[in-house]
Amino acid sequence: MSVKETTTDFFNTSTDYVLFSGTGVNGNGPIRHLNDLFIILYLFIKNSVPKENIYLSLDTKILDTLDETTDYKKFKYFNDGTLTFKEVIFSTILEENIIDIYDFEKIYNRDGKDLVFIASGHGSISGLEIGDDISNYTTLSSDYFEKISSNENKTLLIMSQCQAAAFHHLDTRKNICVMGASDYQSSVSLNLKSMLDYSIESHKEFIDNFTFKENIPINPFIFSLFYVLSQKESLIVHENKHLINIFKYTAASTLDYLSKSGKREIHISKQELLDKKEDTFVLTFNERVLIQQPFLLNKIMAANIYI
Amino acid sequence: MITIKDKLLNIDKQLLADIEGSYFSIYKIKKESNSFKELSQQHQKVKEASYIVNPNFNDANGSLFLLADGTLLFEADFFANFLTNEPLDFEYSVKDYTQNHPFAKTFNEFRF
Repeated sequence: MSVKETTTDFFNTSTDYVLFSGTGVNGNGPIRHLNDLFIILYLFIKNSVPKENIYLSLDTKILDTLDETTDYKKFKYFNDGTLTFKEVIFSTILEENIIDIYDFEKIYNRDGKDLVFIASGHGSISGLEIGDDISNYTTLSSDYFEKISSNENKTLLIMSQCQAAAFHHLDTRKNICVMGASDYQSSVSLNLKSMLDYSIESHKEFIDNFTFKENIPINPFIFSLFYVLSQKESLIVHENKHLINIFKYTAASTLDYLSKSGKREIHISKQELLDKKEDTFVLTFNERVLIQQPFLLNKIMAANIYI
Repeated sequence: MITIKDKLLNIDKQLLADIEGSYFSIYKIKKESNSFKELSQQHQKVKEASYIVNPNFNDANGSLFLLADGTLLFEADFFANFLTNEPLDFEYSVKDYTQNHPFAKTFNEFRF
């Protein structure tokens, strides 16, 4: 039997779990991207993933001022709510497992273990974008994952960034499985108050306590994944709680949120219309239409990873 | 209840619609914070700002700074990610994307 057909649990004590955001300290959204990863970190903690198996790769300068940026807000659901978000990160991840994005390829060594890699941040068709300074800009491409994957272990990539199709065509013979938030499309992060119902007490609790600051937006694919993983018993009607079913629900939710958010209101004042001399008034939009089509690569592997 | 329209009388209507639609997020600046003092020294134009508006989409150029009445003060070509904020002094509604959502029937059971 090949590795891809052996059954494993998504949360276990021998797999490496990497959380990755390449957004630079001065880039577009490094704090919200770290907030995305924090939500997944909570799932790792809740499911007893050992701290030596958890890795966080980001522009490490972000952590220097995280307490000031979050105004020392404490996270209610860890250690009786006594620790700030930054303190929770340092309590649940070994310091040597927090790797600067520019050193990740060089330093991280999976050492033959199974790997679950979860990305937030920005993406392009070249891969995961790293940094924001043009002189120091690079990407973590699909080549990297083919290089570190083999017949001996499982590699699961959960890619929530734009243009996740950059990882849609990996060599599945190397036991790589990919859940992508989008194909060749861009995305937008959304206010959690749009994705949940603030009038329901448990929703309000989640929104108020998991966000680094009020109204910070969260990646809809990451949030949907969190929802499905944490509500699997009430949500997934199928007997098999494996990654195919996890993906189906996550994808349906992501697509629903994004298709609704794509209906952008355009406001034009009466005065602007009166000022127009032409008979015909033409509206043009610079924005892309936000329809995000998630994908799942390697269904044989996905059918053998259980939650 | 003070709403965003009561407080930010001069906010651009398109920007307001985009904040309500999650294209942007608005935060109140903690003006006495060191991070804001440092930013004001580097960029004199932001000194009078009371709110910062950050984009939530990819191809954006930078943060927007608003006066206390919502007037656009400065459209930056950089992202001021590390400003300390304080709670907003108004409420605003966001678009509801939960109607007919695939999980809507389980929303009341949400536990984490």
